[in-house]
Amino acid sequence: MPPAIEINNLTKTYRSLFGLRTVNAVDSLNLTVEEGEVFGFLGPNGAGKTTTIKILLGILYPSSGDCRLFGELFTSNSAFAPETANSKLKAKIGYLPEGPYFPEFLTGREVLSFYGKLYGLRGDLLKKRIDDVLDIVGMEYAAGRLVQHYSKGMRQRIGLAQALLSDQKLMILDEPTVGLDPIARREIRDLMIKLRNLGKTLFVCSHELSEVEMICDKIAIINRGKLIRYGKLLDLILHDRAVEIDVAALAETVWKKLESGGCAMERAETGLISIRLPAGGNVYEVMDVLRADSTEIVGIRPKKESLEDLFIRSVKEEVA
Amino acid sequence: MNSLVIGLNAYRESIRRKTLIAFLLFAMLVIGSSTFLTVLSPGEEVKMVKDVCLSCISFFGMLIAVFSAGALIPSEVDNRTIHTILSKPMKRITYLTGKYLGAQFTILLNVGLMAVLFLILLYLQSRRYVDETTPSFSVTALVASKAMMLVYFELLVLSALAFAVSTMSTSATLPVIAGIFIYIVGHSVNYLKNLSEHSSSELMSLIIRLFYLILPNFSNFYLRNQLIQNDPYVPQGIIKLFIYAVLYAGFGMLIAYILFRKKDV
Repeated sequence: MPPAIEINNLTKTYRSLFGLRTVNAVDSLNLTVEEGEVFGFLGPNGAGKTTTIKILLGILYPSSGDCRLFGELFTSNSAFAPETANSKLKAKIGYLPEGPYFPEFLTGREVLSFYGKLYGLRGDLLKKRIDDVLDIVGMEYAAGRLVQHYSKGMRQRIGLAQALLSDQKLMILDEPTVGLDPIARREIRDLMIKLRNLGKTLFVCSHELSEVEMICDKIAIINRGKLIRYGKLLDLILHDRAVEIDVAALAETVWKKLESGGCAMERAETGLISIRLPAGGNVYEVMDVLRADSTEIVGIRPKKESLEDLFIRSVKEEVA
Repeated sequence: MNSLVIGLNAYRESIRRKTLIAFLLFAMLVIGSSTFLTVLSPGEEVKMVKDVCLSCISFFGMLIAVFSAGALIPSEVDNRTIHTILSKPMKRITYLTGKYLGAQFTILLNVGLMAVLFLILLYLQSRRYVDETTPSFSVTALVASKAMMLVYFELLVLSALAFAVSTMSTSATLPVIAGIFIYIVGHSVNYLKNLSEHSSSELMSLIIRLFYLILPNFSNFYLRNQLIQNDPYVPQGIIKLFIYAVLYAGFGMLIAYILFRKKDV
């Protein structure tokens, strides 16, 4: 099965008026998102996330490289690339833009009807889909109100509803929970999990790292247009596959021995002592030392970094 | 089909624009008050009404055309609704055609309303000033309808050219200014011919002649003399002028497509 998204050597260069200054908003980006995956696309402000998303949607055109969706060439820098394939593939994409904007003079239902027609839906089928997506995002009660009277959260929900209209295989969600209250955020997150369970591929761009950590299988972190981390979330946050050993108490001789072996000890608030092995440290050797002294081992756990820590560390390392 | 969906949406958006509503109201006010201006030219009341109304419809029609066609895409880029629309399964030409269609619906509605008011005034005038030399209302209405149709043909071209400029602009200011400029130049094309004939420099003469050949000649669409003389004969022929207008509008749309096809929005 071909990947849902395949980005090959993608570069987007912006030039100043006379071409004297150039900025690479996206720089030689390579990514693959398999079908059915929930992919987190992360990066600080101005990293090139939205530019990449716009290229994936055919709103921007790349300076070099190309994107393939479900194995078919979607967008390239060729001036003569036909739009036909592009248009056909767009039918498989649902897109929620960041801070979605809609024609203000339409009601929520009319907005959905307008976008539904652009997906080729008509008549009873369109009406049914609108009712379905309004139900999914919990907006039936306000569907008859003008969009200009909607709150930020309501706009976000209608934005998500229009992205779901045609039952697309790939959902590209740019900041899906931004500006939402905790309850709405939870609902949108549950909805994303529901979509994942339905087998849809989700490409989520978000600054809410805790949410990304909860729902994503794979992530990519970009900074200044360049890919700096990419892979399965667990592989990235389970740092070097290292472990930490928690013990109830530690004799001074053992402490010194472990310290000389490169281990780092830390007393937690719970009273337990955490022994952090050095990179590449052998857990069995440490266990032998502890057992020899009859030290009570409370637990062994993989050394795990939060996504937020990973994100900040990666960006700082890249800047340095 | 998507063009029509986008066109109808653009039309609904346009008719809510306060600028366009103000232009229409002002035009209606000028047309309506033209009967009061007849006191300035006793004996030529009907001629006065025709003159004022045709000029008014042409001028306000121009403003409505350049503001509706020139502002549609920049406003959509500005409020970012374009991203959601272009992410939907359609080609950019469909989007452009839809937007242009929407502008045409708006222009047709506005010119139509102004024309209806003009015809009502002509009818009232024809009943007021009846003598053997005055032609019947039906003849006047026929000439006036032809004149209105040609005003629309002119706006069809003008809106396409303003629309083409709007595809490369980030604000509505440039297409509106360009539209007004094209309107003025388009009505002065005949002077360009004279100018090229009387130019001392051959190069200048060639350049001016090139402009004369390229630019649409809007005076072809202006039936002022025929309207005043109640002459239903259109020298260039309605069909020919329609083809002329469609070709120029097509040229405008082609330019718009070339500029917009790979544009980063």
